[in-house]
Amino acid sequence: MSEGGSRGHPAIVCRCMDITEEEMLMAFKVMVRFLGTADPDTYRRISSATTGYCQGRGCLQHMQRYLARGMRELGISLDMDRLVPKKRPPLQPVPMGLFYNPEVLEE
Amino acid sequence: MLKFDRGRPIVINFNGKPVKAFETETVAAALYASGVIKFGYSAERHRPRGPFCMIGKCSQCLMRVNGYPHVRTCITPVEDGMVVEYEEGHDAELPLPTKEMLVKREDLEYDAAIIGAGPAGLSAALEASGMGARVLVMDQSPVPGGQLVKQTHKFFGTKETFAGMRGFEIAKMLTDKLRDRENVDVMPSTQVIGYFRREGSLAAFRTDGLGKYTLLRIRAKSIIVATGAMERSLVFPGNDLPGVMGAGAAQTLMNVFGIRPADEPLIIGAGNVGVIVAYQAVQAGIKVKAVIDIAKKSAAYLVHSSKIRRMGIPILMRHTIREAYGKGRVEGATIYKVDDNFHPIKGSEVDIEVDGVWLAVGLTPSIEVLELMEAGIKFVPELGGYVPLRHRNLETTVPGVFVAGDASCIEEASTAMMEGRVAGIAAAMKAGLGGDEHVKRMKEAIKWLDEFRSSPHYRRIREGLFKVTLEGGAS
Repeated sequence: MSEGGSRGHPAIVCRCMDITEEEMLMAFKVMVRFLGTADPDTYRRISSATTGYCQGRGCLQHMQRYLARGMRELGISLDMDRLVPKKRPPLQPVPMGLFYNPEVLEE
Repeated sequence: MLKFDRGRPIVINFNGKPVKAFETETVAAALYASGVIKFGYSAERHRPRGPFCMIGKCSQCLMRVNGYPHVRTCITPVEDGMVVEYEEGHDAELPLPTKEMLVKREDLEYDAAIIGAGPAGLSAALEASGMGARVLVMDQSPVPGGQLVKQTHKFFGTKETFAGMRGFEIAKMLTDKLRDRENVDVMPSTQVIGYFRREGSLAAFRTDGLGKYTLLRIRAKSIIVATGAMERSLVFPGNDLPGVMGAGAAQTLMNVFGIRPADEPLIIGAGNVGVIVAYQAVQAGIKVKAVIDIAKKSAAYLVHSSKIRRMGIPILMRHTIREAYGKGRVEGATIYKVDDNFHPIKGSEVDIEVDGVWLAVGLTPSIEVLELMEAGIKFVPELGGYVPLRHRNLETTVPGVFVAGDASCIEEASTAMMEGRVAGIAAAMKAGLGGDEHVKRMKEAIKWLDEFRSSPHYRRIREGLFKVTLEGGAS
């Protein structure tokens, strides 16, 4: 358990998955260089930001900012309206037992 | 001054030690009141963490409660003898509940299902139910009212939006009115988790007590998304230290629970939220060290900012934060000044000792449900970021799905209530109810909104709305 020193803390972008700003910028480079693409769904898979308990409620806006800035710098055409990754249920952390169905198992 | 009725004193067990609490508190509030600001360790880096939003959105307050893992302590009411423990990251233990879980299922049908019981959702429910619609209002918080519950100041505006009343009084009045209506179900502690297009149903689950859940499948002729907004975070070194939180989170602790979240905080953002929270903090006996803002000019109403200047709180414009520092919690912050191009001015860095950093840097509309429904979404910074396209009657591009309040556009409680009325009437009409007088009533509400927004203060809002408002629908 590291409480860390007094100074020099990381700048956290995604609190749930513990992703720093440095890692977000690196993930952008990796995505562009090795996959030759820059889109929100790939960015979230590579960085893992927005995939934690809160599903991006705090960090999605930052991810979109890095994505837009990175694309602009590389001269990739950018449509802000399309920088939204696909959503899937469940939208909130759910107890796994919620979907357990004893009646089906008894058959 | 406001008095707090905290209810009966009880005792909970936190990491093996007894902690005093009051029965009206949430687990997170009770812990904060007893001086606990570290709520556990982060998932991968095992960094100490504390809650950020206090309204059930950020997931930074998750703890093991009575053996159940990952419980959102900020929206879980305390109970006598409750056992609360730290969770230590993703890899610390298999998150199995140590107690039996009880799950029920319910299939529900309504004319209108409303997600969010804040000013928009409650107003929508009143209108729709007044037209005879069977209405469900869900909210993830155990107490309906949304962010009205922490608004202790008297509202400005007009009689239609209850000027002169305090926010929490409005919340109570709206909720009381709904309680008397047989065709309305207000369902707190209920979270919407999915939307399934082919069957047109919403999936939600209700917490009936720890370990007791009801999985809901809801079919409704119309749906109103009144999910509000989430406070923005800011990226700087140390931004995750316990004690760094949203200004609204601090406001919840102060105004809903009567707790001092810090003794000497720094507030970042000198807009209306920043200065109002600073004012309320001083009233609660807190010494606000400074309110800083990177902009040249404060965006707050002059009455508010002059008030806190008179109290001797410095408002430092063109200042921002370099880092927050401290061992295990915020102990200080380094701030610096910027020039006209927002570049740091050399030698302007100052360390200030603070035990809290409260972020009032804006809100982001909570539109996850609409994204899931694949509603048309547009990036409109004037309205707070990504917001749904909508007709004048607040119907989105998904037929039968409406939006109201901060989820449609970051504005204020009075406009949220009026938008709620528009959406409520439109949703009931979609369900086949109402007549000419309701069309008229909706037009009046739309007119009120247009007039309210016609002031020069709301020019940006008007420009933003122009970009997302579609032709058609009632106008």
